Amino acid sequence: MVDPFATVTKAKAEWKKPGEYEVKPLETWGKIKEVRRKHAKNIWTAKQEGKVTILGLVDMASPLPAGLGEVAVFTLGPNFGRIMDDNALAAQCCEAAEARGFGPDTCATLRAQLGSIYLGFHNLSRSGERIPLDFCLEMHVCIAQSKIAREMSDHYDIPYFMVELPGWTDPASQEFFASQMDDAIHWMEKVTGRTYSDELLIEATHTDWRNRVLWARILELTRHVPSPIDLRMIGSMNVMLQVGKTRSPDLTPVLEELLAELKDRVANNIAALGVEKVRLIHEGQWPQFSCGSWAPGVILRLGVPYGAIFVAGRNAFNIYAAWEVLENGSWRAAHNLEEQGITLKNRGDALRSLARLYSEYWPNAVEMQLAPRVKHLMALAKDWHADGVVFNLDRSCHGVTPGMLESRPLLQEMGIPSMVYEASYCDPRDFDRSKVTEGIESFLEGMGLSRAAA
Amino acid sequence: MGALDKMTQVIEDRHGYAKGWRERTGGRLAGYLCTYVPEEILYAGGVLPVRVLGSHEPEDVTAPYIYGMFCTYCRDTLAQALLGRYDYLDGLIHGYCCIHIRQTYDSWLRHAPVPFSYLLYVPDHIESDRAIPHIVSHMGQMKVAVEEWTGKSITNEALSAAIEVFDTNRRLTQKLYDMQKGNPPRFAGVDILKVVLASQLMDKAEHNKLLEELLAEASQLPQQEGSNVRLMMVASEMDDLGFVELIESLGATIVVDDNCVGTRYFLGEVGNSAEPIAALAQRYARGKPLCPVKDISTRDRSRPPHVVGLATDYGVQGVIFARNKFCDPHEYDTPFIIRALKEKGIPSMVLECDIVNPLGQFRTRVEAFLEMMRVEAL
Repeated sequence: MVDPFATVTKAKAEWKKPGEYEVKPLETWGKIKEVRRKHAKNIWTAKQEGKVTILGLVDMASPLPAGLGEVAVFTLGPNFGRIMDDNALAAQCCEAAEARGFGPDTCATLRAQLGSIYLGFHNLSRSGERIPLDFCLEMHVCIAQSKIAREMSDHYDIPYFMVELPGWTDPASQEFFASQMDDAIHWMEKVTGRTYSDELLIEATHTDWRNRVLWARILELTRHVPSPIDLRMIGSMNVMLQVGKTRSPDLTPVLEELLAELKDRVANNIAALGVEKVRLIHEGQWPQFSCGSWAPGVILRLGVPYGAIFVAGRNAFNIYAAWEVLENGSWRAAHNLEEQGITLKNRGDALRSLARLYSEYWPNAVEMQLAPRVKHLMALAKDWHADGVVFNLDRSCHGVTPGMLESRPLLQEMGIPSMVYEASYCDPRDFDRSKVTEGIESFLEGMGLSRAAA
Repeated sequence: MGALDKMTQVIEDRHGYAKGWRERTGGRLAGYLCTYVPEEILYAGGVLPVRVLGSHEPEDVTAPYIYGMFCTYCRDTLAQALLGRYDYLDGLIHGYCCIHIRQTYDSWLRHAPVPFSYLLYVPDHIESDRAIPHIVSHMGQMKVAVEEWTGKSITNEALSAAIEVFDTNRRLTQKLYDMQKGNPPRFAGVDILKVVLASQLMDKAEHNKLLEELLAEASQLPQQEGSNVRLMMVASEMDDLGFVELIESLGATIVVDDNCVGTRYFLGEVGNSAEPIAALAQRYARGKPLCPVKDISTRDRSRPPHVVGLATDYGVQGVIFARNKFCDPHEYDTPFIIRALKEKGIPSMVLECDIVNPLGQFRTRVEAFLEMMRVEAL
């Protein structure tokens, strides 16, 4: 077994030789797209197949509704990709929400999706079928999400329930979380008339741990120089986890195969993009909408001609992975339940296990207190050998921006430069492409890079 | 000097009052940023809770630490800390509320450290039955932390006594508000705001005496104009007295409010209980009107009917929303409250408030709003 981090020093010494690293296509990529497509399609065919259709942010604790049997989770809108692919439509959706009183500084993701409701295509498939929704289950971490989920529930006149993921990891907070999930189970049985299966919940909980740990191990490999994948690729893979939900067993073999492939790439110094002179972190959400071409591609690959690669992001790493957080704020891939020697026997075990996973092993929870957020970023920058950090000080998502400005002087003390650009990650009207790209390019030039040198 | 003048003096010299209190009593001073902090625990431990307020002056010190698109209250209060205006505090306590004010708390501790700080977890899902035992647990932890800080044990007897002082304050303040139901109302809205602001800066026992004096003096105070338009102010956190005075100078009286430093602060008593922490948890989770951050649990929103209920009880003719710029939680609620008011035939207008309010522009808009209501009344 090759230690993936043993080559770091060697590789760093060879930075000045652009184009040194071998690059090759990711073989697992086809399977990732396939499973992503399958789950995206499932949302539109779910009702015909007798599945329960759920609105709401159930990316966290996604095993919870699994006890109902086959379910499809809309999150807050399956047409999100379509909206983001069309700037005019995105702007129209945002305006539709604003016309109903939601200010232009409120969350643009939610304005875009709420706007699609007001414009009448939120649950409309491209073939013209309207998908009925059974209920809304909101796993609450963000005030905006819950407020808008409730408005959407009103629109569809469907039952609404929320479970709060506490920002604390103490036993009382975990008990609070688990007991709310228990309430949600009784509520789901009541509103659907279905019997809830604890066996399915237990199975899904095991899978959720397994997949989140696998994903953390995959992300951990990007500490290696050169990184085997870059943040642009990770963003696409996050979409698979988002539409598939981490509780889905068909994600496991894909993640296992991806992990094996990346270990091989690490062992053989195969890079994401060939050149890796400078490693960057992107903090905050990157623009999702189209800006000439797909915005994440524009931003996250902007440094490539300079030899600068985005390799990590606290937000991007946080959502779907299970991390053990060390005392110094460093993240390490957690161990799954089997590795911990834990067997879940009943509903209580499963709910407590989920409460543990989404408090102790989901850094996003305690980061709601903000102080850990800064500490985690410093550790991420050190552990991932970052040379620079780019922040999107988002104009509409006020959940991700706290802590950013406080991080900058601390990064500076570590000798890591940073820059800030302002954009709204889902409202194209709040994105000045030339200003943002020129800003990032100037930042890279300030780091001594140039297109010619790369 | 009348009771109201004394309260006004405390507001104007809030820092002097707090420092004087410490000298007189030998107690400690703890600033707090949110109405979900159970002040009774602090008070029982010999600590004066001091509500941190902004100054409504232009500031240029927060930009390196807090995003300019965070709400005005957050930026203004952080500015006060960075300018050293609260450098006398012995502690800073915060109740888990919106993420913007958590940034203020975090940045405050980083750049203007205080000897003691505590972040109390208050669930957003506060309407859940599961929340109460959870809050009891966290309030219990806060009590222990305060005891360790002060080196003094907080007995149940001391807590009950503190609760009684605070409940008395709530009852007396409610009596003042009740006098606003009459036509004409007894007090100017700005005076009522001064009373509630002073209660958050003063020792409650002292404030209770002033409240009793004020109630006794009430009949001697200048009578409000009977023809004034009766307004309600729905606010994020509005303590800008000049702003309220401006509105009232245009022929209106603010007879009631839904304001973080108004009714959302004092409504709801704790009551007597053998288990005071449990009683406090009950009051903070159920007794007080919900902050918009906490009104997320059910499809039956709590805030629109609550605001309409107050507007109806106080015979309100129109509502002014004094919404802090970039205050998301309020922004998400506003359309629904406006809709609920409209269904009852109560007109409203939204003013987006900043650290320094553009009073000239607001004057024109409020005048137009009042004229519209007067025309409709004809």
